[in-house]
Amino acid sequence: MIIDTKLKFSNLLLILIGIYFLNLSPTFAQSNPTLSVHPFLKNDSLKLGISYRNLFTGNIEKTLLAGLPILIELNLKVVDSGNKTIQSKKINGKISYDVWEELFNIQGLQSTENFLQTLDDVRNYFSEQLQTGLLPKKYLMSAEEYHIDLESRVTLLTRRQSRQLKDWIQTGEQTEEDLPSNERDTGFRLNLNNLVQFFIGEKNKPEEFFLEASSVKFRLTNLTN
Amino acid sequence: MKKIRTKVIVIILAAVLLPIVPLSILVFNLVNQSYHVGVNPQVAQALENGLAFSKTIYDFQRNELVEALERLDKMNSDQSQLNGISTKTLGLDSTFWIVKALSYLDNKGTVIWQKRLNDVSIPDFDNRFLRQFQSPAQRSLIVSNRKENQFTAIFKNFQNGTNEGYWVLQARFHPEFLKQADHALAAFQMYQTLDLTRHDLPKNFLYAFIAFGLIILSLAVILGIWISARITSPITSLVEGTKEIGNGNLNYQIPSTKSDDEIGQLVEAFNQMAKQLKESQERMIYLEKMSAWKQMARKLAHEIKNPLSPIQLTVQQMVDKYEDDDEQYQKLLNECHAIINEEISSLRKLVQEFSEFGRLPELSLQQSDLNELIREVSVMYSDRVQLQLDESSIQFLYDEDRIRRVLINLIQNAVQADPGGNPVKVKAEKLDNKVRISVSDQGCGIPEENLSKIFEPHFSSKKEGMGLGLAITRLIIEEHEGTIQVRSKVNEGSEFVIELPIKQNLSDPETSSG
Repeated sequence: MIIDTKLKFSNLLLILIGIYFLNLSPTFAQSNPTLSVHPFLKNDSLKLGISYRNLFTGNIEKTLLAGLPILIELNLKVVDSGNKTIQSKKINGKISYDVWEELFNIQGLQSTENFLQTLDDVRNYFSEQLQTGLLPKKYLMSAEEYHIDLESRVTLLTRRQSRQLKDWIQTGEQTEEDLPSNERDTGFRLNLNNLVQFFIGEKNKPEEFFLEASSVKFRLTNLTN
Repeated sequence: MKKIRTKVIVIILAAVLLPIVPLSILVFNLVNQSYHVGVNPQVAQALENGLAFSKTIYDFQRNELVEALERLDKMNSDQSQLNGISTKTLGLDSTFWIVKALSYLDNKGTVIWQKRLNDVSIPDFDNRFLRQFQSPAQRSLIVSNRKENQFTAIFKNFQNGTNEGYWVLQARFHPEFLKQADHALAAFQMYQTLDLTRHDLPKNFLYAFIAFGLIILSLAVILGIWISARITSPITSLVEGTKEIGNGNLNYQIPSTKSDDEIGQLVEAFNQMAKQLKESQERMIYLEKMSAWKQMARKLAHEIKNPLSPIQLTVQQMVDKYEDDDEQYQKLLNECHAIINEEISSLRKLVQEFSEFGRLPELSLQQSDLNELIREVSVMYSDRVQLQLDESSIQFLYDEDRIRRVLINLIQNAVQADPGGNPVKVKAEKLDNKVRISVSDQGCGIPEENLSKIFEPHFSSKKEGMGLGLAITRLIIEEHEGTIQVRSKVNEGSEFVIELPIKQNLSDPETSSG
């Protein structure tokens, strides 16, 4: 009897694991976005050109064109030959699209806010025009060899959207299980949504993905002005 | 007992787990299906079309503002025509637009003429918009502030190659239209959000269900432990109790479970059995002891009784045959004769009591009324006995002669214990399946150290008697399978309580029926 029960337990575990893996599938249908960085000198400062390719396709494109904002977080590090980070910088940007005015708005990535007319303009902006200053040239040694690491986090479903989704599910009457007799007897209200929200709560990881890039190793003398 | 406990927990767990597995699969599939009923390409297309339709209307209506200005510009209206202009004459749909004002600005941007078309506040016109018209090709412009619901259409009055001025139309959408358009957008955005979570959300529902299942499972485990403990704990006690009883510890009692279920009844029955075993054992020991006493009393009586008559006759002969006239010797002889006679008489009494004790006959049970018997005995002590009897007769099988003797013994003792003459109370009552008789006095009482000995043969605190009265009393009660107990306090009195089982003569229809 006990052996049988153990078998049942292991079967249950296998079934649950099976269900989990059967339902695992990629969240994004994205056509291989790539990220590259190229450092350069300008006005006696080390600057970085950032280039995204194939970023605004698939779900990102759909999300953006639906008027939902997309967050881009950039974590930059200037690393010397001893793998020591001599400068780090974090940039938080936001891309949004005004569906009614058909205008793209890019905020936070550069010193000025950008308004662009078309998605191609946005693609062009992210493939060729995105630049950021890192540190003055005087803080770098000519003989030292450096490289720059960039981590980029693209968030499609912001916490605000998650909250809206959660609110939407909470107010959705279709999924609420009313048990009137129980309510009358005990005041207990079985609301599956509250349980589900525990798993979809705002603290949950939003829909996002990472891109990483490192520059080629360079010396100040190699960089073009 | 751990095995039973484990089995109970495993059975409850299995009972909970078995339905959870297929239910989990079912729930996951149902949630997935339900999810895809709402999140599918058809719904996406419908929402997208709805949004596109709203956008088309929105764009069309905004262009209508410029079209209205263009028509106005072509009309070359005079002042009176302009003064009579309205939303309708401008050709705008009043279901969409609330026109605030129509203005004409010179080419420097100064307002030359203005007409308010609705009693609403008119925002200041920002002349910087006119910079857009620096290009000759630029004839019109729409400035939208959707957030504030302010829309401004500007049309350049361009005649003969010169810029004569600008028509400016300031208007706002009916809020309901914008609200509906926003709803269409929000629905589309929610769809996009759901589409993004198309793989996660159903899983989250499943996780929620599994979490719920785990909570139920935990409760089942706790319940299983509780139930198994509840079942096995008394069984463990019963096993322990059986071992104790087997080892001869008849005083062992299992702690009560305080429940009225079968387990509780089993524990109660066990305790009752242990108690009855103890009582039977005590009765058996007592009866065996009494049997030995009776045998010894019979032998003693026989051995003493036989030489008494020859001794008495011989002494009498010695006294009778003395013929001398020594008065002093004659006196001594008579005194000795009297002493010997007195002692022989005592011995005879002793022999009589021993003989009676040793030859107590077997019980002769008869259906009789106890109340009648008590009344009959009490007549002998009418001045002292106070009766308190059940109103109805107490009919049952008992040996009337022997119980009479018991009553006489107890009442006699009570009367003797209280020389003050206080009444001796005799009470008889019929309980469920037994009769309780109590005899109480307010006499000198029995010291605590003697209470355990008073039913032993040959124990007496009185100068007279052989101390067999209470022993015989108890023997009679024990033979009736009853009990006798005594409660006593020195100088306050004693109470003897007898409980006799009610046995009915099955052949007697009158008594057996009730």
